[in-house]
Amino acid sequence: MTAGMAFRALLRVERRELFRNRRRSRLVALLVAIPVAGIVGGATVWRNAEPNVDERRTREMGAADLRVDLGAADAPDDLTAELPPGARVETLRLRPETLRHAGRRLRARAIAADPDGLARGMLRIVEGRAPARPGEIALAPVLRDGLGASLGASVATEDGERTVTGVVVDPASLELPVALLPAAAAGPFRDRALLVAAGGADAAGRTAAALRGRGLRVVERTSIRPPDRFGPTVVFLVGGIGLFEAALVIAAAFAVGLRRRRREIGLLRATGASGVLVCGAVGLSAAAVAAVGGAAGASLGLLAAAAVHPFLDAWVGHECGRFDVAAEHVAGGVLLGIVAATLASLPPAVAATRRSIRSALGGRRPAASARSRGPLLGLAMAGLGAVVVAIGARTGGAAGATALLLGAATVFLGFGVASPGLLAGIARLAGPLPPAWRLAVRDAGRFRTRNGPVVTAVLAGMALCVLLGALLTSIEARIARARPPLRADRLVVAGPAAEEVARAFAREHDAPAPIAAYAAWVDGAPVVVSDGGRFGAWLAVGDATSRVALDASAEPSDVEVEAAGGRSLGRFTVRRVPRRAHADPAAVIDPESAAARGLERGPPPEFALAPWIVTLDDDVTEETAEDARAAAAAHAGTSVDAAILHRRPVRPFLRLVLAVCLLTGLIVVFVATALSSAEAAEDARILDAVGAPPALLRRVSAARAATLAAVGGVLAVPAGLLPAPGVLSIAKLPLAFEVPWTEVAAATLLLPALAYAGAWIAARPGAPA
Amino acid sequence: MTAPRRDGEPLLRFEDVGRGYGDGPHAVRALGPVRFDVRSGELVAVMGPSGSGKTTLLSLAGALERPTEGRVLLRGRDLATLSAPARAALRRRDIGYVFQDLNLLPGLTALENVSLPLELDGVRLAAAREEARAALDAVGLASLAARFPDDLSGGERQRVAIARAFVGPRELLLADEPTGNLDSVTGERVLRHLRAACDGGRTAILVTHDPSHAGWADRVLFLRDGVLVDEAASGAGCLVRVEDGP
Repeated sequence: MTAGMAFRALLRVERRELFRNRRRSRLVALLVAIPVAGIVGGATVWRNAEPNVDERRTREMGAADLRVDLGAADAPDDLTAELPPGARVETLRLRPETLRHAGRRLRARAIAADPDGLARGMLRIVEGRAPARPGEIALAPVLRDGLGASLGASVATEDGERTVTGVVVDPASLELPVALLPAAAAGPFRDRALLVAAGGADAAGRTAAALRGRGLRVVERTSIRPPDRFGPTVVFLVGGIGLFEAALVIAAAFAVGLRRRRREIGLLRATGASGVLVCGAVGLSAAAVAAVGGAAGASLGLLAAAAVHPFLDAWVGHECGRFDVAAEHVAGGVLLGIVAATLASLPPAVAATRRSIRSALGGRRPAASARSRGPLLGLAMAGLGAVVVAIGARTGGAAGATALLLGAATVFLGFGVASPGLLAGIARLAGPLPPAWRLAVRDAGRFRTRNGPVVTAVLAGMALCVLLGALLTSIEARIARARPPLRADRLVVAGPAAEEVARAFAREHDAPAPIAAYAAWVDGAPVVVSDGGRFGAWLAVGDATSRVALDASAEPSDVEVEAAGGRSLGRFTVRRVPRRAHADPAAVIDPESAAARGLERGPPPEFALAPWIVTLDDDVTEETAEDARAAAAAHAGTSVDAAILHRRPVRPFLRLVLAVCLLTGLIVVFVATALSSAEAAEDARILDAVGAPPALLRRVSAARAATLAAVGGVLAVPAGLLPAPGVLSIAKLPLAFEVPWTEVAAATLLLPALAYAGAWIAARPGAPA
Repeated sequence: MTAPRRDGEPLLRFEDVGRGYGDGPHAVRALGPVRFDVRSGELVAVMGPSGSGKTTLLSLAGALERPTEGRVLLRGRDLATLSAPARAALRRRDIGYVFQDLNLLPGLTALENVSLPLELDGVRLAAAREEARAALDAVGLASLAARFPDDLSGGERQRVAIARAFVGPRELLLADEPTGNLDSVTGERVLRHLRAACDGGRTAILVTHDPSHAGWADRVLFLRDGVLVDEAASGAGCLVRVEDGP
């Protein structure tokens, strides 16, 4: 029999095995399909959300070859001399405009242009028609809705009444309050641009050079480049991590299947099949299942991307055009899935074929090596990874970032490599545990080569979560330390119109009258309360109202006060303020006492003018903060601050990451537990025979899940924290390292608890464990 | 250990017991109806060709399955009327099992395997381990208590299984071809332990193919196609008790 014939025979065996063991085949296909769906769907959505090069060029300069930005200046009279024969030129004029209708007033960006001329594609009429006569205007949907001006309505502009003839959108920014005026609209305009159709790229290039020679700012159509590959690269990287986790579970699934088939594999080898041929056949069968899973995942991803496409414009704020699929994204995603599954199937196949034929035929487990080097090797890898992270952090730049990523991955893998040894070590200590836990922990140790990848998958996800948690918690801690005192129910309005905005806002929200936060000053600088080690805390000046706003205590007390430079001003009677942040005042002194002591009123540190504080009945919500910011935006230099505004970008993202990591970890653990249960049916029969209560089998299943989750979660903590300082360093974030206790607790406590509860619920009482 | 008691009320009674699987055209009758008693202190062998219903009979005696007809009574209690937890408790306290293979939980040491029924029954760990060590000592394996099943020979594993089957107050041992995978010398040792346990007052049902093994029994039941076709006393006919082991 030639090798080719033998391989075909083995493939036949593997094909039958795929159908015989349908549940495993479906599991592998599903494990490939999910990340591939994410990759293909994510990359397709990103591709559609980002304008392509043609869309970018059209949005920048319509159908023109050149755009000449003139600013406030008029076009030079002799400009036509620089243009090639037959060139077309159209002018685009812009100005800020105030529109009024039915008592409402909105600011707009007025553009005078012909949307059917060279500006075609820069603006698009979506309803009605473009304004053509002097007294006409087309409004963006945001203006139409804001003013309540439908088609045919009359709106007041700065140069008179105009009739609304249509609805116009800027495809590059759907929310932009743009108002389209006829191309020949009269009146002053602040900015001008020329759109030039030069008659081809060569002529455009020569014309652009000539115009630049005259000191004009010229944008060539061909200079607008396609979008970079950042988005799809990120999607492929994130999806790749998902596939890595899936591959670890696939390896475990193949390990279980091959262990159950050890007699069959022994028989195949006894009849002359070489180990290489057996491995090749197993790898090919994995590739076949992965191809099916990958194709299903890619289809699912494309379907999902197509389903969200109609809503994409509203989400990203610009027109996304027609649905477009990149073949390389689809092929890349499927190929990645096939490669991951094939590689994942090979280590168990190699291990199965390296077993002696005699022991395989006898159905005996191979004798475990007395002393494994896995833990030492793993810890060495983790240490090496930490060193690489440190080098990367010190080096900085792209090389440093690459080293950092490699180092972090090595740390994760190192702990993963150490995990089988750790499982074996824990199993040896399980003697005193109750039977269910003892069985679960011993099983984890017995099947450590299968459980090692599972633990690695769990720890990789949770370590990433801990790492991100460390980064974001450190950022949050810095925000909390660096920002002015902000109570959750308080808005701080700063700037020249602070009082006006604060009073109007307080009236509108039925809040108590706002108060100004003044600090006590002497010698042209704020005084400092040094009493009780509170060096650096400032002294507020205020009356009873300010005391309420500042949470001052009712009882007066004496504190030591210093001028700038450390000169003692003596002990002052003040009311203490509980400090929440570095910039909180330490105490508040009433204005009369302050005046009697020779203290003046000035702004607190970090403020140029005294800010005004609005204290609401409830915590500031995002809507309230947005209201206040909108009110402040009408006044130059006036701003609003609230505690919620500082937390918004970080905390929800961290929660999302945590939820995704927990979910991924749980899925991995549940799949592994299901695999264990399939393999432990014989153990269940023995337990049943010795009188184990039905609930015990359920507890064993739950304890198996919790054990894997706990080991993965506990290892995730050092694996995540080791690279964290390096990440902080390379990101050039001047942050003090903070331990992310929430994520640490989630990895070490919540994940095992959820795994236990989930597996307990999933296991039927009395079913094989 | 109680003295042999082979009269009075039977420990185990099969009253016209039958067991079928599936229904319609796929229905298979695995056993019965059969009727017999097993008295305390007896070692009863069950013989018959493959598929004759021997293992089904043992599963019914051990409350692992419920009969589809008739009653299985253990000390007068109908096993079919017991709930799943009550049947599990019965297996912990009254019935011990030995299979042909897959007898021991590979994740537990020999000592832990033997003490498992006691631990499951709520006996304190130290007391359970002490009793298990005594049971292992009785089968001559106290020195191997800390070994895992994978580190034991086939005969040692079966002796550990016998120790587990008899640990605690359990009286009835059900052995399903316990010597099937063993060499003759080791098989004899296992049978000798069974015989000694019954001589000491325990009761056992031994399923076997081998007439020489059946020679160790007090009585032999012959099954064919799920029906009890004959019954013989020890030493009758071809049943020979061979004692050539160490």
